Amino acid sequence: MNQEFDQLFRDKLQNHEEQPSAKAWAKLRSKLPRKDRKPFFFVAFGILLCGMGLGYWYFGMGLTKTQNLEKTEKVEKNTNFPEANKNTKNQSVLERANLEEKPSVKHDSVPNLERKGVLEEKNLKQVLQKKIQTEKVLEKKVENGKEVKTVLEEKMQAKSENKTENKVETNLENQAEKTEKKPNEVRTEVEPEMPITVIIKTGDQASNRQEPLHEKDSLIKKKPRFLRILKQLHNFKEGEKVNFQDLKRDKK
Amino acid sequence: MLQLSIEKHKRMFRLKRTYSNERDLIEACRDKNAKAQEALYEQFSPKMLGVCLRYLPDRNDAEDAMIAGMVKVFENLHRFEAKGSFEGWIRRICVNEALTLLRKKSKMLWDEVEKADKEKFETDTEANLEAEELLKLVQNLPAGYRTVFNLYAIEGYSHQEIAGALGITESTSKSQLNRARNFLKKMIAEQYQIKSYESGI
Repeated sequence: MNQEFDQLFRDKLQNHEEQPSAKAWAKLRSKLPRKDRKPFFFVAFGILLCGMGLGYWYFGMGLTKTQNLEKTEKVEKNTNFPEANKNTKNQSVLERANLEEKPSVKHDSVPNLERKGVLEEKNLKQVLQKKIQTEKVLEKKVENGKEVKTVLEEKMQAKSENKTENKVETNLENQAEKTEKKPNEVRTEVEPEMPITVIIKTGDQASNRQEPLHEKDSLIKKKPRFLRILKQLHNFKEGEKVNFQDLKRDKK
Repeated sequence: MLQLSIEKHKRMFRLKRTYSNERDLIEACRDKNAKAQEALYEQFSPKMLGVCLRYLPDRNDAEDAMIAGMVKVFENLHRFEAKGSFEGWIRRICVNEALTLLRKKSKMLWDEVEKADKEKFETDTEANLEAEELLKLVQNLPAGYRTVFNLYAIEGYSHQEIAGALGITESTSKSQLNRARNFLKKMIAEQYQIKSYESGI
């Protein structure tokens, strides 16, 4: 009897199924051991970092270097500054005008002043030397004249005196003319050479004065576009002013 | 709702088709394959919940026991040897989990006195009972009776095994079984009377 009774329950209940709730699988899944995905994630993260680094090196540093080189070459070649400054777009009109004016001022004012100074110094030296020479000559002539006077005093006093005086005067006049002419000659000799030296000087000085600004501008401008965008995003995040011109594409 | 259940059945069918062979399924689960784990869960969880519900009348408790049992199954798959039935192995684990939870939840009372009831048992009355009705009857048993009855009558454990599992003597197991049977018989008779009264017989 008891076995039949048990059998009845066994048959009915042994394979009885009840559908678990939908949350049961989620609960179970959270408790299940999973495969270790750490190595994969580490490798993926490493590759990503390497990629980003290479990208930054290639697009960021690499381009700026080449651009800097190109720019310095341009600066060396082009001492004509207005042309070199064409690339700077963000500069205001006044700045541009200043930059355009500066070289012309340097060509005219500074070199001329220097040139004049040099010329004056040289001329003064030469004039002084000539004067000294003429004084010596005059002294000699005067002495000679005195000797002539002593010799010909007895024969032709009046005539010889006039002649010697005339000679001395003519000599003096000639020498004075020479002294006056020589500085002019020196000028003519120096002038063709001076502008070349002056141009070189002005070029060097101008490059020394303007390159830092110019290079800075070029560096700021020639940053890769995505870096500029990142910078502007950072500015936006920080609440600083956003320069939308930086977001524009570079014109080649 | 209906659409969801249809989709679930479709998914189950797909999973079962991919892991038609039980060995492949076990191997994939050993490799911690998520799809295989889900397939195994879908295959055995309803049965195991049915088992747990016999020991734990509260559905949430039964589900917790089932989940704990399945977690142990996945964790100890490498220990399973292909000699016995895989379902039987899972069932044993789930039964143990249900018993563990039952011990935590309620104190089982054991009557040491063995009283064999000799009440007549009418076969006709319980033959018509459905599984759910029987389950309710079993769930209405006191915890001690219910556990021994489930283990002996349905799971097929011996009194020795039951005594070992529950930490009781064999005689206690026997007495609990007899008391459970008598209790059930009484309840079935009452239910039959109510049914016959309702039907006007």
